[in-house]
Amino acid sequence: MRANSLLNDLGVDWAVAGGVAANLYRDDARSTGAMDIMLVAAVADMAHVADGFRRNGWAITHRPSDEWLVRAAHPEFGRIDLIAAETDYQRIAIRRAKEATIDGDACKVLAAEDVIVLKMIANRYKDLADVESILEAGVTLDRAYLEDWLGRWDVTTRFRAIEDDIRQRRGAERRAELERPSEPE
Amino acid sequence: MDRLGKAERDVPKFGSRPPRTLDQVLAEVSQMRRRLPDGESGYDALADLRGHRALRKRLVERSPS
Repeated sequence: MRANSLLNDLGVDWAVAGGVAANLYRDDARSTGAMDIMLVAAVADMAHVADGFRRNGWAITHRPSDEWLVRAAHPEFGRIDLIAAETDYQRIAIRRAKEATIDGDACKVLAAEDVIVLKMIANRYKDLADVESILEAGVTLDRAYLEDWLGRWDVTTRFRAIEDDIRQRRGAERRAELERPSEPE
Repeated sequence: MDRLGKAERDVPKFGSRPPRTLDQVLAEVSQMRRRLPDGESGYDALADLRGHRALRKRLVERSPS
């Protein structure tokens, strides 16, 4: 059974996160490994989730003792990382996730603002590249919500640096374009 | 064609990308993986796990009250 149908049957609130969610908003899609799924689940629920996956043909390939993550693989549906939402912010992000479908089955994907906030906190090169690409795509953002959470997580300065880079690059591109000799008619 | 026309033709407009569906995203990623040489998935399970651990640590330790 597909992960989204399985999670819906298990009755947990969840949303697609990570690189797949970023790809939904990025200017250009990038390759990703496992699909990350963030779920509202207590430790006991994570055990229940892992059992549900195992019973439905998924191999549990990693499950740390403190139960914050379940890594599962399926020969047809690929790899997924099921990650427990342990903070109020993650639970808020799941609540405001956007409706989507995978092969006609309902699912939710983190909103662009929450993808950006989580990527700014994660702060790896690929996370910052995701944020840059999402901004380049010109996705409509709830700026008040975004600024609020960037501030609460103390990552506003880092985010401004990406915005400034984009602004400078666009300025340089525009200047180069205007300075290029026009082609003969 | 004048300069402005050339610019409009050659440079993608900011925010011009049409929205994707999740199915389209998954199909694109799957196609990218198929283009890789056999045996190279481009996926590093341990690095991915380290990334999750680091993010979790930051989220839990720095969660705003």
